[in-house]
Amino acid sequence: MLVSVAWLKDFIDTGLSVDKLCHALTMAGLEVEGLESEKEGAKDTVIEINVTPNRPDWLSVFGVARELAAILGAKPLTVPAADIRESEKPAEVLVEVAVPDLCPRYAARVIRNVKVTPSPEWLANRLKTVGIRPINNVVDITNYVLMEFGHPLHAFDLSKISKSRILVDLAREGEVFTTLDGIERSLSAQMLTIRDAAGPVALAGIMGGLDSEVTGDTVDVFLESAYFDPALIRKTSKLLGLRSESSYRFERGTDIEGLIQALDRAASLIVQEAGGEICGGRIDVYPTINKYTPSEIKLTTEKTNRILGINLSTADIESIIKRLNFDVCMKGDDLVVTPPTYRRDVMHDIDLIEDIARLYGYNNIPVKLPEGTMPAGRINKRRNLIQRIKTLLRKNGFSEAINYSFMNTVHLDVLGIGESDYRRTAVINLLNPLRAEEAVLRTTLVPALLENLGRNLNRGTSGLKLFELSKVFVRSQGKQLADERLHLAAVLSPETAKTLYQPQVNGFYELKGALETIFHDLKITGTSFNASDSENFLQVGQAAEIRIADKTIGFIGRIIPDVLEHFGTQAGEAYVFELDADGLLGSISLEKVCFRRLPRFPHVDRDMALLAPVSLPSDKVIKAVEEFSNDLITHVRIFDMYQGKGIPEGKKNLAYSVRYQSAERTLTVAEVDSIHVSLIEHIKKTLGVELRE
Amino acid sequence: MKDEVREICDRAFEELSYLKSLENRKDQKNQKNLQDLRVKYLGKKGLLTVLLKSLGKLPREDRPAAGKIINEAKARLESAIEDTGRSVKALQEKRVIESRRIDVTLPGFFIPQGRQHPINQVLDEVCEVFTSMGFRVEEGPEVEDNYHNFEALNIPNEHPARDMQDTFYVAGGFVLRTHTSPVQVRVMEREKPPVRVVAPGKVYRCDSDQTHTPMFHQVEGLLVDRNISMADLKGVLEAFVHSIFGSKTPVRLRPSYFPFTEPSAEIDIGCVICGGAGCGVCKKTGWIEILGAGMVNPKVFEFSGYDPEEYTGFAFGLGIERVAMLKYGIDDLRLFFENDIRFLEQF
Repeated sequence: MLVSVAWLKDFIDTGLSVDKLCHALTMAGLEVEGLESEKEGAKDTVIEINVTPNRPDWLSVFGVARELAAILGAKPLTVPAADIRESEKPAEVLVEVAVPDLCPRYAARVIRNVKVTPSPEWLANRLKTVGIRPINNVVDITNYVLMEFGHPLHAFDLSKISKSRILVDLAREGEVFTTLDGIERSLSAQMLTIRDAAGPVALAGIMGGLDSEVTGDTVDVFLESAYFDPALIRKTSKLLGLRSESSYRFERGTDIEGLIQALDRAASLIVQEAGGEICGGRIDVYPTINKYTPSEIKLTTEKTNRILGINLSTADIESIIKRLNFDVCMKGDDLVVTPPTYRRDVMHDIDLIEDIARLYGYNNIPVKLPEGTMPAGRINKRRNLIQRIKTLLRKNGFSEAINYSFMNTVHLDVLGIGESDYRRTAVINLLNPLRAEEAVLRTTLVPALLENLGRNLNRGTSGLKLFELSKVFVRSQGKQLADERLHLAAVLSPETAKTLYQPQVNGFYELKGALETIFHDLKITGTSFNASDSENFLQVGQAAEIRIADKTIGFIGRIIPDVLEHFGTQAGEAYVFELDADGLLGSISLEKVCFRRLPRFPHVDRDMALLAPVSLPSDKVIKAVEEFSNDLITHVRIFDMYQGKGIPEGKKNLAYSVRYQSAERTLTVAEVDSIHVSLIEHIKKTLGVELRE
Repeated sequence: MKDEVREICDRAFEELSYLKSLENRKDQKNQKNLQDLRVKYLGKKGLLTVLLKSLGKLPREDRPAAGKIINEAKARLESAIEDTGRSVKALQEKRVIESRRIDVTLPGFFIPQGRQHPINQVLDEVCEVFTSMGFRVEEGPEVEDNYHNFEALNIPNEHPARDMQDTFYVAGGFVLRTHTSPVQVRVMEREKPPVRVVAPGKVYRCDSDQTHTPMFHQVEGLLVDRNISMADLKGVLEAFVHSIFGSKTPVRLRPSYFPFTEPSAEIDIGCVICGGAGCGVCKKTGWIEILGAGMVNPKVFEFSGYDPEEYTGFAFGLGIERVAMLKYGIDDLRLFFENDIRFLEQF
């Protein structure tokens, strides 16, 4: 909200420089967000105050002045004057409120024989400094009083009010009405209107009608000052997408008791600037049942001090509260406080305690550290494991990416994700997306990483390793709408520049190795990679399912060039994996570690070179060794894989090293040789491979 | 006899010094020549050995003196040969070592390390500060229900406070959480006080421009116990600011409004860019808003079944992107989500 410093001076002389004034306001909760010093011509400073939604009473110059008086204490406050001289003539307007719960109070005055002209300079200038365009003297005065008092008013051309009858009632469903801004609006039965005998003349509390506005031809003015239900105004304003200075204040809550003051102030200013006479008798439909009486609030000194961590006396508290125009009396040791009618936000003792803290000064509250018991179980183990996985990936050269949780469904097509795939069927839609490309929550991390890859490679990076550990969102049938699953994904595009030492490793194995580092470090056992062509965006023959104990938790493979091209890169080679990180975390067996006595007897290693069909997965041999299940075999590993010169067509050479060891004795060469021979026989028989001598 | 010994010795030393003079050039051969020299003079049939054996030919009384002379000469020659041998060997070793000299300035072998995203670096740092003060890290759902995101935090429907946050809606009355505050509610539903938790995570607002991204990160904190006051709030949050921005950073609290806290406060720090003198970042005020905080509103306690007369507490929330931007001097919010490796590698 914009506030003119000169206007503020009409009500309070703070004696403060603008800087000091701004500081005082900010430190009391009226945050000064900006300053417009001395605009050309105008000898004035305009300050921009951010008024929080709980304080509609600050949405006016007088409201700010009133708060300043409380903040500074002992500075006299001038109340805007109203000089009402009613004529003999009665108003002759009949006002009926059909929905007194939605319009608890409706007051008005009739001013006859006004002369509508452009506003005098002082009035036009004041409005301009706070960003309001002057229209004519009558309309400008309603706006002036709105800015001054914070209570919205509306002036109708009385001659346009059919039969001089005003009815406050809900709109008829489907009714069409043209507001002051010239826009034709279709109304619904939840909206409140001000009506005459013919139909709506204003959208209550939001905007007047084009047909009944005050123009140069207006002679008689019907001036309205009412109180409307805040929730209703807010709802209507949202439904119509129409916000005004008026609706802004009504939806936050105006002062039902102060509206007469605003009405009279405006009527008296109209007479002052536009002439005319105020008809006798103020219209005021305010049923007793709607009479607003602020409730009494009990406040104890003990609680105030306990919550604020300070040590005020009851007298201190009383004096602070009185500065804010609250009525205070004592009941026993307790203070009983009644807030003024413009402070509807004050309903409980905590609201008073906040005001006390505000005026006492937040910065005068001491600083200490909490005492008391420290809650147990402070370590978040899951989070620590996640950190550990991230660290391992970083050590393998992968940098961490963070992408939006949204997804472009077009990317599912690009990746060839099928119609019945859950990543498509269980997608969660945003009802109000900002962009079509961000209309759903992502079910896979791959598209975003491919976008990152494309962007980086296009910007001249060669060799990229990125990972992301984030949630994906899958529609669930449970209590929560979304099954939020933590996924881990990574992309790798091999380095093409020559390096000093680095051995050339196939990108697939480099990426797989990063995963195996995690398995190894976190003691995740029972993992396997099974050749699979189930993902359409992965190259046939260079892709696998990642499994833990026969449960598929993800995939890894080389991305097909068409997909890469779609994401804007010509790079021929890139690899990706994505897996269910919760599945990974669930398989960690770090806590099951049990010490094994160190072997006291030496081990013996025996190699075997096998001639196998090219199609034989190398881990079949490892599995065959495990199946052979000889207690003396402690370990087997592959150390060579070769095909080409010297190896028959369609075959490859696989070389393994097998370790033999006993916990009880030193093994003899003969013994080991004999086991090794039968192991080889077993492998030859079960896998149809030959021993390469 | 004396003369003969001297003559042999002179010859031997002459040969030795000749060999020594060669040692810089062909040391391999030199070793062999040295061996030859030893055999020639000191070997079984060596000149001095033969001479010693011929002592018998001398008169008995002359033998000890002559023997002494010969033995001394032998010893002298022996040690001279040994010295030469040693120095030749040392030289030889030195040559080998020299030939194996490496260029220590060549880079070491390592896998270039990946970097942690700056947002997560700051997030972890923030969580660490609070865990050191006894807070536990908690998480909650990002697709949140209306109750936890709004109602239980005292933000009823049709309340102007709803305008403080532009919300993404999904079906079934669910929203993308607009803040990490619902985690407070979930923790209080599960646990009895004392409670000390921080909840880091992603939050969403339906807003995208220079200074807003539709997704960003927050850390929420909650401390509930008996006799917790606003002085404790100040103590904990000042300690936090000082550990993130340095112990000399000025901190101030000013009144604000959040529906779920009362009294509510904004916590400002002295501008880290201009040091309080006034600049574009702090809009010439010298202060930067860094945290929202306040004493938990008794209504929030009531929603969660805590007795507000028995327990008090405070809650706070901060935007991680903002902290990261201030900490590293980043001026474009969108850089965080482009994942340009040239950006990521800087942190």
